[in-house]
Amino acid sequence: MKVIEPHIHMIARTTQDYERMVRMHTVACCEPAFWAGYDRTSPEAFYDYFVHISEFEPTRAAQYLIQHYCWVCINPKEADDLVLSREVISFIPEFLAKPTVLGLGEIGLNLNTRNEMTIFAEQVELALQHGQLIWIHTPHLKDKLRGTRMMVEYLVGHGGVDPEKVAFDHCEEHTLRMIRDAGFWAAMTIYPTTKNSPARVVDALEIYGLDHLMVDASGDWGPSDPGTIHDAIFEMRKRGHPEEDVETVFYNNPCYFLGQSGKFRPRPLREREEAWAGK
Amino acid sequence: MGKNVAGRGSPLAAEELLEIYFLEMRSALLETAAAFDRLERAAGGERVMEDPRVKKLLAGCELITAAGADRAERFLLLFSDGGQTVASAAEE
Repeated sequence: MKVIEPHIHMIARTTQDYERMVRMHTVACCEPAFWAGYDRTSPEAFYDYFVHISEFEPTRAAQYLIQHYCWVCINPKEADDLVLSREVISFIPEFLAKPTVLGLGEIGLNLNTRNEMTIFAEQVELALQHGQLIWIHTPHLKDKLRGTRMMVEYLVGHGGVDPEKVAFDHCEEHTLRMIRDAGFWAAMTIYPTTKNSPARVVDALEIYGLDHLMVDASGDWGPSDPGTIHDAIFEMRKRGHPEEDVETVFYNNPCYFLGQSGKFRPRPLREREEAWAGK
Repeated sequence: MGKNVAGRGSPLAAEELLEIYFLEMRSALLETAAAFDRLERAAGGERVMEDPRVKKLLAGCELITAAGADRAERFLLLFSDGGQTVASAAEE
């Protein structure tokens, strides 16, 4: 079975992770722009980062027959600096034209500040102006509920945002319902200690069904592991779910969402209505 | 097929799921119990048991003993800042 990793920060991973991913049948991965673990000192640092994830990383992945795609943006944590953010936003359109850039992401909130919300809204407008998909980071731990609600309310109230073209990531039990009820895509991140476990991800699939849901391993510079997406595949099989449903969650669903960009090349193996109905 | 809210539910029956998860659940609770013991044994243990974070963890323990198939969601809500609208956030 082919697997797509919808959210992983390969800039922080070793080549051995690409080797492991291809051995586990990962055919494509997507890298949203994120915080480096320290605040960057200039807009130029972001420019170089975007070059890395849109040019060098696809080359590195291709050695392992993995298609690498990325998203560009000013990340939520550094978005609190309005001046820096607007300088970065000024050169994002140049990268949106590149062949492996799927859209704006991962935009969103970190501490739910007014500045973060301002830059979130400005990046949503940029995505709409350029007809781009949007990948959203929801805040961590105690801030997640409030921040998710702020962004859902903003996007619903905006009136011009097609929820089919927006995915919220790092969703958990207390945020999934509001995101899905508003018609957005929801992704669940398997991440030790602070996000989801493989078992809880499969619980959510059993509660909500397969539609508009994705799963990612979110490998980054913290304690994380690209292999955890495959732990979730095993968990789903262990609980007796049909193989076609496993394939829909871990391959077809990312194709349905990411394929809207036109640049994403993997194609789903079934029509989505048929796959989601479990026929 | 188990209880199904909007999705398909579990293909396995509750007894079969218990076979799979019993030892994991036992282990997770035991680790939590041991961690509380570790805090209480250490210097300042009595004081730290009054820490709001510890009290919240203890409230979480109570929560999982209550009935209802939404314990995980209620647990996360317990550890969340209150919900807020965009309008009220802008007032901060």
